[in-house]
Amino acid sequence: MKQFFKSKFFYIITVITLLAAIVPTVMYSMGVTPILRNAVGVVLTPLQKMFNSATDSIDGFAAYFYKFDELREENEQLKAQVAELQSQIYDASELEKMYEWMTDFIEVKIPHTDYKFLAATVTGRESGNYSKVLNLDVGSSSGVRLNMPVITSEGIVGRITEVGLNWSKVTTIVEANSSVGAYVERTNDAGVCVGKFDLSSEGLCELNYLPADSDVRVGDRILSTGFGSVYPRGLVVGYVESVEVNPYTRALTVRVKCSTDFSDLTNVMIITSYETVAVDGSKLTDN
Amino acid sequence: MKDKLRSFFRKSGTDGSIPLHGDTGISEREIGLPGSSPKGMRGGLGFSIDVETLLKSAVCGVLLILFALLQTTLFSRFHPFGAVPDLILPLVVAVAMSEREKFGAIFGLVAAFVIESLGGGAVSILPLLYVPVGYLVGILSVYYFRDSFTVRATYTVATSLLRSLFTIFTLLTTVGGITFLSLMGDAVLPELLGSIIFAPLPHFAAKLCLSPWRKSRDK
Repeated sequence: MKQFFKSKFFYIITVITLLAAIVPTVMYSMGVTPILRNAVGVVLTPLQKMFNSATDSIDGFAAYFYKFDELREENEQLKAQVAELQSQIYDASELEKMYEWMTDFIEVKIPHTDYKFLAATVTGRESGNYSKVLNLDVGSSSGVRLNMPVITSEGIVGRITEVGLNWSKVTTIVEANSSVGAYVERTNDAGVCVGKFDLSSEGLCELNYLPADSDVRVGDRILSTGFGSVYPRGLVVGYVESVEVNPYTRALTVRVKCSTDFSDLTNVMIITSYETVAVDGSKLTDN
Repeated sequence: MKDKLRSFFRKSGTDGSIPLHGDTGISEREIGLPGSSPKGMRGGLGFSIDVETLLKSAVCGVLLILFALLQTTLFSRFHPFGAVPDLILPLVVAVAMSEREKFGAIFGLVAAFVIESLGGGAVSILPLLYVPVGYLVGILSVYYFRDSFTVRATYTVATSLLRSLFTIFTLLTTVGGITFLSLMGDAVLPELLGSIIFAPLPHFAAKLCLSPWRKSRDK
């Protein structure tokens, strides 16, 4: 046995071993990577990456077995997070709608600083097929009174026709026999927008009593005249959709597409007070 | 009883001075002892370098790379028993048992260098473990103890215990504020357990890959 520890090989391998232990340690402490070590790393690193990818696959597969409980718990937590995030998205969506509505509100308020508004939400519609009436969530307790005009940023909706303590009803301008004093903005020709039963479902009304020589055209904007003590002047009624001339009587039949989409209303504004200009130029406050 | 045990572990007809390999004797020139003239090119270490040795070296190199990559990827990811087992030390033992002390020592040196390069730390002390293990196991298994499961298991447990001592030394010198209890519980004992349990893998691989040369040598 002793001859093995006295052989030439033993001495040489002992020296090499000591060098192999000391030199890399010293070089590491000096911040230098030994060349041979660097070379081994360069050669074996791609293989190591390959083995790592295989390990990832095995880990993924093995997780089904040894991580089942952990995965199940994580799944429950993620489900709860998803539900919470969905709720937040819904809230964000509602906030976005509110923001859009508030922006529209400001767009109406800015050119009409004399208007006083009361915001209301459409809570329902008439269940029958014979009227276009909307239910609102504000009533007399909030200052709502009969015949107050109801608008959106797009245009006129209608007027308050029934008031409760905390509810009210709006009859839209497309309702049969509802009327709005209106004029063609381009030509200043005045008439009356009247609701018709057969046109109400399409969101149309008829502009009557225009002069026979009126130059009204398709696309002309129709605004309220302010006559009739209901709607203030300058509110948008709609746009001319068609103009027909009776060949015998030369009477004009003008159909107006209301600018408000009655089927998709959720938020409206009730004008509780506004100023009107009298004939002598003085300002009067209505409501 | 002592004689029976001695005869069980020692090769028959040997007194320790004329070694046997397997059931047949090998000539002195195969051993590379001083005064012999082995086949092939004689190196300065008295080590015979021929085509067979080169082939064996290549096979052992592939095994070394395979187990080194397994240790630094698969086992370092899963941490069986809470620590990364040492697969290279049993491989050194297996190679040394098959190819004798010189090959075992050189293989131990290369193995230490490779594993230190792939996943080593600041202190490079594994050559001080792997080289002596390769050399001693080579001597003991070729000249004194017959290759068997018991012998392999004994070598594996003994070398793993040595490895644990090295781990204790490394952690105590490099990691500050570590208690002995956490050292043993979190690092040493899990590593020892994992190394012993997974040791059959490199042993089996080495025996399988090197068996063709062993058979031809036995013949």
